[in-house]
Amino acid sequence: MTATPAGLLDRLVPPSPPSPRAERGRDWLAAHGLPTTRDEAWRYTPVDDIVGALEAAAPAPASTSQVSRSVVDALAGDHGGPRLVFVNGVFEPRASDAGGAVDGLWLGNRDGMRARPPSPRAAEDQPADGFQALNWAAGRDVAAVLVEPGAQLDQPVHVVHIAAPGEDTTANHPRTVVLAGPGSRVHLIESYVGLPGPSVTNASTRIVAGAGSTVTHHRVQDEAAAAIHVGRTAIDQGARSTLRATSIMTGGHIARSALAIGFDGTDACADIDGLYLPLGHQHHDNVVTVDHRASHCASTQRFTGIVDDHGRGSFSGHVLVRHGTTGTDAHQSNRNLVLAPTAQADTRPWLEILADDVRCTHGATVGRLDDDALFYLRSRGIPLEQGRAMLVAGFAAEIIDAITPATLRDRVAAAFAAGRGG
Amino acid sequence: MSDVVDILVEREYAYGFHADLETELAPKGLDEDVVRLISAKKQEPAWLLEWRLAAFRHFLTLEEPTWPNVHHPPIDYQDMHYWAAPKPKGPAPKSLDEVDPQIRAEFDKLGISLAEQERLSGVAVDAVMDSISVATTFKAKLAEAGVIFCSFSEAVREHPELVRRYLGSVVPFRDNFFAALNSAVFSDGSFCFIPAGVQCPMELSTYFRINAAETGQFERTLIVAEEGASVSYLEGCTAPKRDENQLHAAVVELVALDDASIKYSTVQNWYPGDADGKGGIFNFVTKRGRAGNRATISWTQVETGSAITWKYPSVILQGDDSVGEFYSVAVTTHHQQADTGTKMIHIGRNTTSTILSKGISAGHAQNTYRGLVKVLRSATGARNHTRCDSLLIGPDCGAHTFPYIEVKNDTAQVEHEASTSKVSDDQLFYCRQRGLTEEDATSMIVNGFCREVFDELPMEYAVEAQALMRLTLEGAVG
Amino acid sequence: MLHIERLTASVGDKTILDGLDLDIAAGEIHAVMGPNGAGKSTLSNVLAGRDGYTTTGTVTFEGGDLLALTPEERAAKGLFLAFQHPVEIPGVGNMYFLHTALNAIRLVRGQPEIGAVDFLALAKEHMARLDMDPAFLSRSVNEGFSGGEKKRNEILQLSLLEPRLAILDETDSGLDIDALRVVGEGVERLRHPERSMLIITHHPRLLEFVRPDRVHVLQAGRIVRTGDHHLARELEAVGYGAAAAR
Repeated sequence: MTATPAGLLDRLVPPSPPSPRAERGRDWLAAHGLPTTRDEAWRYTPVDDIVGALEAAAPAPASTSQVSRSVVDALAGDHGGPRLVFVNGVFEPRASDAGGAVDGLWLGNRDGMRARPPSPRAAEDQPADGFQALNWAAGRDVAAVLVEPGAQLDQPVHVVHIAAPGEDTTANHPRTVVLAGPGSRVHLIESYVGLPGPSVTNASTRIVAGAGSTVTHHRVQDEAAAAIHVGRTAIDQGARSTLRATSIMTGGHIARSALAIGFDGTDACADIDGLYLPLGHQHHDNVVTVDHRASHCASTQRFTGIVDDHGRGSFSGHVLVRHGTTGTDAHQSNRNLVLAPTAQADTRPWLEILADDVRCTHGATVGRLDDDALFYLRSRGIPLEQGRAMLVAGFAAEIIDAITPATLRDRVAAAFAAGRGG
Repeated sequence: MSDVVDILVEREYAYGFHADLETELAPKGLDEDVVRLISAKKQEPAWLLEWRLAAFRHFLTLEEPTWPNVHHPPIDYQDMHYWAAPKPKGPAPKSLDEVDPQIRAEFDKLGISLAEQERLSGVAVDAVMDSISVATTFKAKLAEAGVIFCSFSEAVREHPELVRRYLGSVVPFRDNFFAALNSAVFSDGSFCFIPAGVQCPMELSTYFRINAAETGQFERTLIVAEEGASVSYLEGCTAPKRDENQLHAAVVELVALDDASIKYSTVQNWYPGDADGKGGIFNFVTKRGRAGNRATISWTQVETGSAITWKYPSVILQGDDSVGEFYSVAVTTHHQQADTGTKMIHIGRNTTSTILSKGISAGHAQNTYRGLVKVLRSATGARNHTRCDSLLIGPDCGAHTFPYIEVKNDTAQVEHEASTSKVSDDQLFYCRQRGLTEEDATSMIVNGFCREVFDELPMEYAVEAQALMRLTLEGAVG
Repeated sequence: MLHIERLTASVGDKTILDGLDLDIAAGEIHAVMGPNGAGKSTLSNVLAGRDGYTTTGTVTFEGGDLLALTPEERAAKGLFLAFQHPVEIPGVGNMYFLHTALNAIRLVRGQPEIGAVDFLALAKEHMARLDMDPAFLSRSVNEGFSGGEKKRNEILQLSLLEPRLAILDETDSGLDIDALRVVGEGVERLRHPERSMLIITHHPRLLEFVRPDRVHVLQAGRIVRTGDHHLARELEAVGYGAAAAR
């Protein structure tokens, strides 16, 4: 990590940070700085471009006049349940539907959180990297989803973060906290979208899945064409909890999504899907860490990349099995389709195993469309281009078909088809 | 299972003796004078001294890499000798009969009888002790075929134009910290040259032996196969048991011109340190080959020794239709650490690479596969297939798989698959039900796990490698 | 030969064998039949010494305490298990495996080792009787074998290792009628006054080719009925529930 220029700190962070967490973030950032491509986890991230944009950026205005409910519907969809909308990292109640009537669910922002007893863990947290430290230091609000123990939520909770830039590049730092109580069931959709213009979104999400809980988390990054996105999602799973997580990347110019899953209790399982589709000059970078620090947990990663034009898609998956654990089952796969001579795919499917009672596998492929399959389709009368599109869609289908609810699945499918000119 | 772990922990190193040979030593420490001294001792031409000095000056600007997944106390590069040679008892030997009997006895003890090798096995051997080549067998017969196989020093004297053309052409001294160090202070090594169209009539082999204490070993191997030539080469390595760590930083360069083929096999069994992790060789090696059009470079390695192994035998697939292969078995027990793998750089069209890596970790050892498959924009039709399997024996060891795949061509096909598991309880039970002891069953299953790699070794060495594996795994039992 | 008294076996808090008694004399062939979940495979696993079971009761084999021995000691004493699902061992040649196993057992029995050439001849002779292609020897143990090939390979091992007690765990499952005949005839040929066999099976199919001296019905972890080979027919005709109730 390099030291971050003091000027950057002062410009992006309010002079007197409003909370102890913000203060910790500022201190951490001042001490350690932002990462560089020499940091292994950032090897495939164009960090210099992101830092350059941050250096040129101003804090995003909190102005929300452009954002109405219909704009949110258009950008992120309506998936039936309660919806929290944040614009440039600040709660926008007029576009939200906090659904106070849902049993066992509490939704709110920083103001509401302050009225509640603080989480015991919050005081010890340290940022995982410079961007998260910046998020804490410069963030102005927080989206909070608290699910009572045992609550079974039928409808998805939708958190929408909208980047609404002005004339110049703007930086915003949305933060989301989700606490799923023991035995609860919740389906969370996080949408990162934006209005046209240059923006840097530096997001941080923390999800705690209590013992025996069932958490579904879909993260969709579909920001505007000039947007830069750096996101980190940390999910801590209690014993016997079940996680289904999906990360979709379609938007942005440079976008990085880091997902860190840790097993804190035994017999938990996580299914993690990902789909990224860099087109034009887009760069989509995925970093997934699964930390098997408790015994008898199972994890499966399935990430699919389709890179086209001058796009670059990267996947860094890291399975860590800690010393002293037993009965770990971990699987990781990353498939990539390279569709243009100027596109690039990178993949690092890593296993780091420090215990012997494990069954771990990983597989990665980078390739082109299957000529035999294409020929088969053409021999049945399907024109070349259509056949190609069918096969590309088929390559993504495994991930898209598993998305719920149907409204979200259809949205992703439509974004996929639009990107592919279909 | 615990029995097996115990047995692994009790494993004994069979090559730990050392000979009290009279040795000529340079003073400890590293500076330009030491570089000049080495060059002068070897009566080298001025261009080579200049090359060494350039490498040394570059070395001073570098820092030791920290990215490998290995941990060791800092290496004091001033606290070791950079030149150690068995003191000659007269003029250089002209034939095997003239080699110092004590040195011959030392190699006999290692199971490498130079005389027997010449008489019976039909394998030409270059024996290198403390970085100095002491004997090369079969020279006359090889010369008939036009093959040059000699010590590096002799090559500098007798074939300076060849050495000058190819030295540093695959691994430039700027390549990395250890390559720069080696380029500055390398003392000897092997040189092979197979002229155009010649199939080398026999296996070539070099045995490396570290004998002197507190001495770094820096040898250099250069193999050139001209157009349409082919050669199979094997190196073996052992060292005495000593409590201090010893540094081994070698460089191997392979040049396979159009239609040439080089098969390079290694059985590395440097002293791994004792059961508590004390002593052992730090093995930091740079190995790389460059393949011309339709050329093949194949690396096979069986790595059982060294306290730390850091090596990535690589192939630059520069020519169209060239082929790169990497077959590896790495076994770590006790406190050994291995960070090894390969790089396949696809530049030419229709280039193909295959990677097959088998890692076995026991005791408190850490075993890392690190590999890069890079397909450049020019490499239309490139293909790679990689498989890395790791086997864990005991709850305190680690197996790590760190592949990097970077593809910039839309016609490339790259596949990577890997698995990590312990020796299967079902397999153990099945063998034991048929009457095998747990140790024998484990050894059999592990050997089976490595079989595909052993099959790539030249026939003479496949048996040796299996025996070495059994010794490594069974220790006291064997 | 084998004397089992009040044998119980459990995994965790689940009891699978619940006070099983069984006596097999030298030269006898016994069949243990029972529905799925009766404890058939547990019986064979416990007798062969697989980890993971907690046991009580006694098992005496050739006059000694069987349960105190390691799996390889049991094998050396002459206990052989033909597995229901023989495991694949990649990279380990079938011939090498069999040769090593045979010599390991001979060593314990105080018999001289058999050299590779003699072993090959011996193995080929046994394989011919089982209608097996000699190419089997050069393949890895069970790797890529069909279900039938795996079972034949088990019977080959049985005939080569010449055990005192052979346990055949569902050896007839997954075999077509021709393979079943070859396996059945192979087993029948191995009948010997000094060799006992315990055939564990769900179906009575194998018993058309091998006539057992005794047939036992295993249900809920214990023997609920014992008869001669007619009992197998009865089971086929009326099912386990009805037969056990009589």
